[in-house]
Amino acid sequence: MTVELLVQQLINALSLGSIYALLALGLAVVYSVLGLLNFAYGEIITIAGYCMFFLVSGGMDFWYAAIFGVIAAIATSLLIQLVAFRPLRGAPANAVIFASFAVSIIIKALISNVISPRPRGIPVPSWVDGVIQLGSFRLPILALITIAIAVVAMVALTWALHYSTPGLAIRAAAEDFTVTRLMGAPAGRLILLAFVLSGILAGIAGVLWIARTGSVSPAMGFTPLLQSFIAIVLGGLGNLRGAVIGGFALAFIEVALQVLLPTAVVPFTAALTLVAVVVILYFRPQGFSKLAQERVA
Amino acid sequence: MNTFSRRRLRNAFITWAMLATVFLVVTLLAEFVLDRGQSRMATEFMILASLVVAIQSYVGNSGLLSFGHVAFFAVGAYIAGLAAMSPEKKEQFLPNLPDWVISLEASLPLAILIAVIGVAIFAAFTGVPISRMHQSVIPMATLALLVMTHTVVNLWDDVTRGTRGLVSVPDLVTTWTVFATAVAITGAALLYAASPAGLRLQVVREDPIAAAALGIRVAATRFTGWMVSAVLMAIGSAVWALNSLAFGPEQFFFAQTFSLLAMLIIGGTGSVTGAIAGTAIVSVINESLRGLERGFAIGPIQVPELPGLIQLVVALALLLLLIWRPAGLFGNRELSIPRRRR
Amino acid sequence: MDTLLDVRGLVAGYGPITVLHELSLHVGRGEIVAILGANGAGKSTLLQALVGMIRPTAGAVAFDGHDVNGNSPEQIVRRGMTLVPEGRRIFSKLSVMENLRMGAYSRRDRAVALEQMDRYFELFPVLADRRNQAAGTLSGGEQQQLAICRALLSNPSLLLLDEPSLGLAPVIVDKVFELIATLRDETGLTIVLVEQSVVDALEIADRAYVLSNGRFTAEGTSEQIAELDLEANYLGGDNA
Repeated sequence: MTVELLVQQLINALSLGSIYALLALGLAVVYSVLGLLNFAYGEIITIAGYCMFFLVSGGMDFWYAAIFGVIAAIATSLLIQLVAFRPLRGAPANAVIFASFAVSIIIKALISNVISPRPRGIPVPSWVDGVIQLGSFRLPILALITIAIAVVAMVALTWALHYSTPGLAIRAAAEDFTVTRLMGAPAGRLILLAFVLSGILAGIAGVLWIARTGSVSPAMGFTPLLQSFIAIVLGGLGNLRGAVIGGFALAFIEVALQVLLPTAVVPFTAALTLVAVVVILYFRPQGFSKLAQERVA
Repeated sequence: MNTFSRRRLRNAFITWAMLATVFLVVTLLAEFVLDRGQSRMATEFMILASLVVAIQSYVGNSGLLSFGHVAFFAVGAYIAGLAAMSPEKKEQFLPNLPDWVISLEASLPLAILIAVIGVAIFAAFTGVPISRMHQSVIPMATLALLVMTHTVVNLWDDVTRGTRGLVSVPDLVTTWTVFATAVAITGAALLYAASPAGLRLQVVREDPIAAAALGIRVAATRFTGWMVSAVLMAIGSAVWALNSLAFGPEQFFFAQTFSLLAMLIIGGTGSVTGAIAGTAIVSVINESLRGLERGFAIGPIQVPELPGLIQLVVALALLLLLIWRPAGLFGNRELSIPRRRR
Repeated sequence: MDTLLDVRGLVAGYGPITVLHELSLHVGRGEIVAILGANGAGKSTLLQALVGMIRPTAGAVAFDGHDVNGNSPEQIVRRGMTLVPEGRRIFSKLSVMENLRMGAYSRRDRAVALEQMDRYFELFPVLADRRNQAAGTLSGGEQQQLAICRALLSNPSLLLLDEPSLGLAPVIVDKVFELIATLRDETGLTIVLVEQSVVDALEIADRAYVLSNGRFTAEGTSEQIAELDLEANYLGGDNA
């Protein structure tokens, strides 16, 4: 492999990893507070996608539509908490998990029936697909944008979690929800905040995901859900830094498999990625959580 | 916790006898009273109930929601279908199968046996890592298992015919075979729940940390439940396959998973009785909405085809039920003789 | 003496199980009151009911002249009753300073409180040195100090301490109790101290209640309670 190709695949893995990291953070932030995985998480991205689809079809610029996409994502995340999580506080975990799964089914069925079961294309501005030629290196613009947006989002999140009081309360709640309440942080508002953060992260990741795929479909949320789950397991559960590490690790595994596997096996990449993840977890049941131990100052 | 408790055993047998009676009534109705279409529905109900009970034996005792049992369902159905299909048909549709598979033409018991062995191997491989995971991620891990299995079934043309699915699977199943299957699986699930191994799994369900402190090996206990459940699932899947004659990968994915789990959760994951009752309720909803899904007219307005309407209604009903009764209709209660009050 | 906390006929438990049977107690402003009892007597349940973590099924809780029965934990902290939970339960991944910021969460004048940190650091010099260290790296005694200081930052008028001696070496236990006494003497703080370690608790307490099986079986001044030879008679100590 030439150096040029290697760099290109590296950028590819980094941009995919940026999306996975944001996705995983969004799933992990709710998990860290509630101890439950949100099975309707993928539908946050689906709704953001369809919101953008309608706005862009109506003539709005892709990136303006993206802002509304993120807002739609936050609204969806709040709706999921209102319908599936809040009424079932204190119920057995299975009931809550299945309720969120049912919400996911309902959203998918509604979109299939009301809009269309078939995928729809979203035209992405053509300059996005361009490349920047730097000597002999070809750098895809979208990948660079993705990495830049993700870095900004993650820095902003880190800042908010460390220096704002509600952010600090989220980190405290991730460690000990009960004591966080004893300190005077209202439980309901903390959970709400977690879902808002989750919606923002999923929304940003969703926009970047859609810019990459250029289409929306009722079941489009599933792959992001699964990838973010794998990422948080890889990174060691309940650990936001781990979610980021896991997201990048997953992207590198995926890209490596795509490059290295013979063409005949490429359709099985997703399945093989899972096998690779299971093998890693077999030897390191805690994932990469050792690497992700939070260090303070 | 190492021997059978006499009281638990007796209760299990009472419940078994009562549930078997229910199945017997359904079978007799199907054989002698109902018309062809209705009796087919009755048979399907008993097969689905067997599958749901098989899932219950894991989900109920472990308290862990599994989205992965439909993966067992797929593996069991394809293995049984391939085993029982005639060599000529296999030569025609799946010429790239190894010769020893083509030449095989299994009877019903042999097809079930092969399916059980195949699913058990599959479950053993997947169960080891899954049982070691933290309880809060096991549901998602099983969902990943489902997706992985679906991908393979969808793409492995030489064995599964991919999206075209298996056809010309022989019909080796009678209403009475289905009855026997349902009774056997129900009995096994009740017996497992009353057994020392089942009891240990229930202790783990209530509090994994306390269970570990009592000397229960958490991962091993979960693994046992996973295997028991997989074997029961394999039996049900084989009977389902040899009753269905043709099937494809889409029958082993989200819609099926949602439907089977909805049956389980509506009735209550905690009891075998609940699993069967839930199957009955969802089956009735399915049947009564099937007409509407093809499109209908309200006065002059023609409502077009509504694919997924059933799913939507079941999902909404389920959400409301969960808010009202998080433990399902039956909770942990089994059908039994009313206890005398002292 | 002016009564700060007045509990009458409190009944509480978990689901169908009743743990506390009609408990009544009162705590005067500036007092240190010890609640003594064996494991499982219901001491922690009592504290959880007081701070709103579990909802009492009957009875009345008046705090600082307000009826706080059935209030949520966040409301109760704002009224000025703060619990230092059993086992310290500091946020071990957060820094010492961040733990203290969480302590001040309920205050309107949060910024002011944090500016006056030096006052707290005078009481807990070791925390000042380690303010940027992850709390999990502190020793057991230091963690107990952090848990107490964190609670103080909510500016309570009543501090509830659940087994502060648990898991600490005897030398450290002495220091922690000394600190508790100092707190009362210097700031006039009212303290309810739940303890299994009877001798240490009675040394600093003004009065004490003895809890067994969810009922108070004795109450009185520390001297009176000390004469009861609790270890043998009530708590099922080593000689029982």
